[in-house]
Amino acid sequence: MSAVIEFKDINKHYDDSDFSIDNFNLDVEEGDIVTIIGTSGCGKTTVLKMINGLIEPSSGEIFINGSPISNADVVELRRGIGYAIQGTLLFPHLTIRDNIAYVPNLINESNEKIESDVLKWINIVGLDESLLERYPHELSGGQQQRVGIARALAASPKILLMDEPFSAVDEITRNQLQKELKQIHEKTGITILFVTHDIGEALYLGDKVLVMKDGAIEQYDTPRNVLRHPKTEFVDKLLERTKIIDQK
Amino acid sequence: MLKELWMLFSTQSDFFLNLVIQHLEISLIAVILAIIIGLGLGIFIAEYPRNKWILIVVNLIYTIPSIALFGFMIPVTGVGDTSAIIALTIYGLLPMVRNTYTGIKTIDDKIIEAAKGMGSTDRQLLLKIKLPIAFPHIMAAIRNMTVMTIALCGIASFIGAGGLGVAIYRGITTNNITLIVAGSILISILAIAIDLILGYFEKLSDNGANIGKFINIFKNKKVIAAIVIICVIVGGYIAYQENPSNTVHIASKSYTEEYVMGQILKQTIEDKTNLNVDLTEGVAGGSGTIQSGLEKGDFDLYPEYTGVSWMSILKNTGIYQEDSDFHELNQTYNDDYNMSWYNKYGFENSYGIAVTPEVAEKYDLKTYSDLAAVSNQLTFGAESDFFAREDGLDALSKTYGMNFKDTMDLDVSLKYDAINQGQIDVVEIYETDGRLEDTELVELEDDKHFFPSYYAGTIITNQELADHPEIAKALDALTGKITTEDMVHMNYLVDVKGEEPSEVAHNFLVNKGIIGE
Repeated sequence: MSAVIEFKDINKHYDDSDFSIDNFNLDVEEGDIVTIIGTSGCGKTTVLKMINGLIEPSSGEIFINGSPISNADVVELRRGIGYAIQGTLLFPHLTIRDNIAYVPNLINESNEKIESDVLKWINIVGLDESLLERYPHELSGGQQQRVGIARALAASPKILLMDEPFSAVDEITRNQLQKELKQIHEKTGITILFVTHDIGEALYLGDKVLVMKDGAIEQYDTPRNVLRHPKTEFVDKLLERTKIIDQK
Repeated sequence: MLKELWMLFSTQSDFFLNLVIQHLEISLIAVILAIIIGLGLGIFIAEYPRNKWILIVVNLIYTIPSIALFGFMIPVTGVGDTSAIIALTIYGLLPMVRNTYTGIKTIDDKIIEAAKGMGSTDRQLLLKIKLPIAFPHIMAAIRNMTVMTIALCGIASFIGAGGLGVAIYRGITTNNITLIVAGSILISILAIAIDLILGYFEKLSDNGANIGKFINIFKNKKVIAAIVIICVIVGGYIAYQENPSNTVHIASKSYTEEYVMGQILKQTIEDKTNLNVDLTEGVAGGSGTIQSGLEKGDFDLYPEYTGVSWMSILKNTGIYQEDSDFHELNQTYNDDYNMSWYNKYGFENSYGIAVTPEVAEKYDLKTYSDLAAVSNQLTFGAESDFFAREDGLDALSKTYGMNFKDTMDLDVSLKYDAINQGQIDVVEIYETDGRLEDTELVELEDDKHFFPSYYAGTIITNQELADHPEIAKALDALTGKITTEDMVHMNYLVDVKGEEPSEVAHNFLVNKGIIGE
């Protein structure tokens, strides 16, 4: 197994905040879904945004497929990484078709290729093709999330970053979307980093779960091992809550 | 009123159509410039917030009263359309800059981050995300600013620009209410029409769905081609219209006599030469403004009064007397400004003192000195500025030893009523005032030559005389041809009878045989 993403001795400090990430080291294996969980402000989103260069580390290096991203062209880097974020953040002025085709358009794919990509992905995320000419505000929340995933995947990236993408939808829709994401992952085999604050979602989706607290790693392991051998009191507590909910 | 308006529009449709075209031309050029510059500045500030001070500067400029902003342009770019366009453009900047800036700044940060995280370059981010989403804000600004510019353009005639303001301004200065209303109504109609059209586009852009459709219109090559063709045609038309080499630019000041004289010059030159005449009527600021227009080459000639140019252009303090000072006046114009006092028309519009025939008979009055002897029994009336002026009542009283029983400040239009009704016995007059024709008065003789001479004539640049010698011939045809009575009558026809200056001038020139029918 090879590490597709590697954080090496990452430090991040802010002038105007006490929050910091110190000596952060992490390997993400190719084809894994890694869910990242922790209290709010623990640095999980920061870790995600460092991968596509939206946040730069103060020191240390991140490697993707073995090459350091500080040497890479940031625009090229981002176009190779899918990015789906919290809420309904489709571009309001573009049709569903143009939303999905956003990245393929940026990289000037041929019209035929874009059209086939759009059709492929709208089908994969389980939406009707008739929605393609609609605008985002004409779709339900769940449909918008699906378009968000299709948009993130349209240029067939090898890595997909997701920042609480399902937080704005109701529970039934969320369960459906989780299932579908798993199916998409099985079909494509891409590497996914998925930030969530819902431990159930983290355990269900993750091949590995990364538990963070105050900018540091509490535990990084398979869901089974996290459940059976919580490494710290914090992880234990996090699980406690789910167990209580499960018993109910 | 409605009937008069209808008459005015139907008899002078060419005049108004021309003003409407000029009005649209000036406003729309200013609007387009303001959109381009304002959009650029707005984007610049939004992308580089360090330059936010620009917004403060633009805001400050916006607080300058519009009339002052127009005034500031005169020393920089002279009088005429260019200054008006620049002033209107500057005025239109604020709404554009502010709305472009806020339109971009109020976009949800997360949308920007999503677009950035997906690999948009800064340029793609601006063109594909920020501007389209800010578009409703920008469209609202364009609509606002365009309506404002069309309305504001109404006062551009203040600095000699064309447009419907010319009608309003002429209405004010010749006491013609119908003309004022006509100009105002047309401006309102223009503004409302454009507001409705832009409102339609704004409504389209209001909803996210339609922005895309709207922008797609401009992706169509045919539409772009159509826009380019329209621009070329309009540009060509403007360029064709303004063929500078064979156009004479005449200016006139903003009162009845000058409107008439401007028309007389225009029609005579058009009749006697093959030149085109561009007449800028009612230039506010009077002699000083037109003089700087002549120096800059905006104007070539205008009708002026000897005494006025002696004092307000050459800044002489002594009283100007025609016989002794004209040679020096003309010489100074040639030496200092390379301009000539080319000719004089014959009439004089000086100040004078007049009494009713009854008073003249009762006291046997012929001269100012006669009047001085009985002044302590009489009431004197004049406009308020005659009491404040240096060559006004105080100096007059001193020269002749006058001491009136009482004095009264009166508006120009009320003076004649006051003396007819016996409220005043003595009145200060302009010798060519049209209202004199309706009033029986005896003008007294200024036996000590207190008032300066104000002979009317043409000031022309020597450059123009050299470029177009045929103008000299045309002007020669007017030399000494207009008597004071002629001028009184023409002013009377405009001020009292409500006739058009162009019509009055035409009839006069034809009757005198100066031009053909």
